[in-house]
Amino acid sequence: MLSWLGEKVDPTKYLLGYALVVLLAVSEAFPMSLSALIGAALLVAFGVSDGAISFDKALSFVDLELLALLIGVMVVVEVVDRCGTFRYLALKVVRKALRRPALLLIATGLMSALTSLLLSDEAALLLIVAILLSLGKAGGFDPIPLAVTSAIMVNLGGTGTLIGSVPNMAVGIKAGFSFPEFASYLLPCEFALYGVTLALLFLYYRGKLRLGFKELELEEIEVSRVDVAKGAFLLFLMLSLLVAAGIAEFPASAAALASAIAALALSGFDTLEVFQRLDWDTVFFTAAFTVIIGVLESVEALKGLALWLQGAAGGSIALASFLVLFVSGAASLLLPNLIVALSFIPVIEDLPFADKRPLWSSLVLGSNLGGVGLPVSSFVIVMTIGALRREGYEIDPWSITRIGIPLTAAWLAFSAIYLLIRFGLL
Amino acid sequence: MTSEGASAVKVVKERAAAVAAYLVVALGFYMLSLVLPPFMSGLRMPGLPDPVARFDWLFWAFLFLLAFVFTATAIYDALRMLDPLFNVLSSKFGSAVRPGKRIARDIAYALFVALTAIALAPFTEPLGQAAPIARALIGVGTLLILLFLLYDAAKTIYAYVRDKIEEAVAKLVR
Repeated sequence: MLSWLGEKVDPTKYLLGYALVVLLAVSEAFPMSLSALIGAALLVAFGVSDGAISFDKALSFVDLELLALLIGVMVVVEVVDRCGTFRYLALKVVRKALRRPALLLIATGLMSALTSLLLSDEAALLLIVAILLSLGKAGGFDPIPLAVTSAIMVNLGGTGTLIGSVPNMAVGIKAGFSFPEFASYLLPCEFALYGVTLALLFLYYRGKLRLGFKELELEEIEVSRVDVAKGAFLLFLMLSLLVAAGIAEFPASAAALASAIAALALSGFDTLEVFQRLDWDTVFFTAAFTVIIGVLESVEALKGLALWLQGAAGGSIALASFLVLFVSGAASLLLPNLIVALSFIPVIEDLPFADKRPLWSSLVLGSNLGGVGLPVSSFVIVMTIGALRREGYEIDPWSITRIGIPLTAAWLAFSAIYLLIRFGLL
Repeated sequence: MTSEGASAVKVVKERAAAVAAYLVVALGFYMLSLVLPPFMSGLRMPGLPDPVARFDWLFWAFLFLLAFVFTATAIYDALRMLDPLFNVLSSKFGSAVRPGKRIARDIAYALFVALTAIALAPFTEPLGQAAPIARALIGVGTLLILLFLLYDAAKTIYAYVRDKIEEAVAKLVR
């Protein structure tokens, strides 16, 4: 029996249910969504039979605002992707930078990070790595440094905006951050990290970036310029509505849904086909995991972590922010970052600080930045290795770890300094 | 039936026959260990303490050891009979995976089964007098599945460690 709970409910089986979800997800026994649904069903059954919650209460834990934001953004991004806008822009940028190795590395990195601000990490990586591999074949250069740079920057990209990643949406909505407010806290840090990362990667790879171009036979960009413009307009519309939502104080989820409806109506694509291509695994995982966290909160099962953080911080918001940053960063090395973010949200809500902006920002940074330390922690790293091997390039997974671990440490250390300065924690 | 299924059935049939044969032999030696040693009672080796000085005890220990070895072989073969079943099950839950992931999955499934049993137990209350029977059925079923999963995890750990040791020994010998 865990002692902090008092007399009401023993949280051990609830925590074991949480551990089960993590284990099922990490061992890839089932898809993420099914793992979370199994865990949610078990925890709700425990909660109902212990009299801690009712079934209606359990359903109320599903965060509809978060789901609306998530689905709205997914629809817009899917439509824009179908318009070919991302592919067109990526090919344009790479062609411009083609004959200068340093510029190509920087352009690849920036393009990867900026694309992942909107696309999912996996989709952004597939897009960029496919272009790099076709250029590698055509130009006879080693695409490994550029592909690894792309994977690392895709992981970094999307840290600074409310819609940049699902953990950001979850944290932003709970924290009550609008789109501009979220960006004002985190986007400067993300841009600064781009500079730090690209400089370190350039130093690491500079000896391997010699390009041996012959006459290139690059693939033609087969997209309609009208569609590309349509996609760019829809992106602009969504970003404008999200900024307007922040200013006029209406929910970001409403702006995302309005953008999604506009995108479906204006694009002319088959709506059902667009729906079929959405990442429902993430949607259902998010819904089920918010129920799990809701039940854990009801039985105060996460209170131990909150109490530990509170005790360790000793009333200092700076120390508490650092602890959230480094503990969530370390946890993201091993666990999917959405699990880390969703698990820390109630912990931060429990902490007795009046201004929690530094804590929320720490959680966003920690859960986003821990992803490239180990091959097991990042699906984008695994995808990069797979894509390179399929094309006949041999790459040792641990060679990425040798870059990933120091980079993650540098990112977290830099973020700690940023938080000190940005929120005046000194 | 697929070729995989057919070979699984063949392995099960072979091992079942072996288990039966080993058990019969083990039982035979055990019976002999009860019957024959008394004929040697009274014979002793000089200068040794009991029980090793007694010929009847030494003969009993010899026969009992044989019975024990054949029983252990029967148990080992019975466990091997489960292997095709595990292979079929693991192919149902996804193709062959690395040992670490397979162990993690076994532990996850075991945890899932145990927690499901805990979650189901309170919902047997409306069954009235049948509730204890339902709970016992859930408990026994859970225990069997847990043993099954933990055996698979143990087998995977054993095979992994054995392979690593063999690799290390091969390197040392070179």
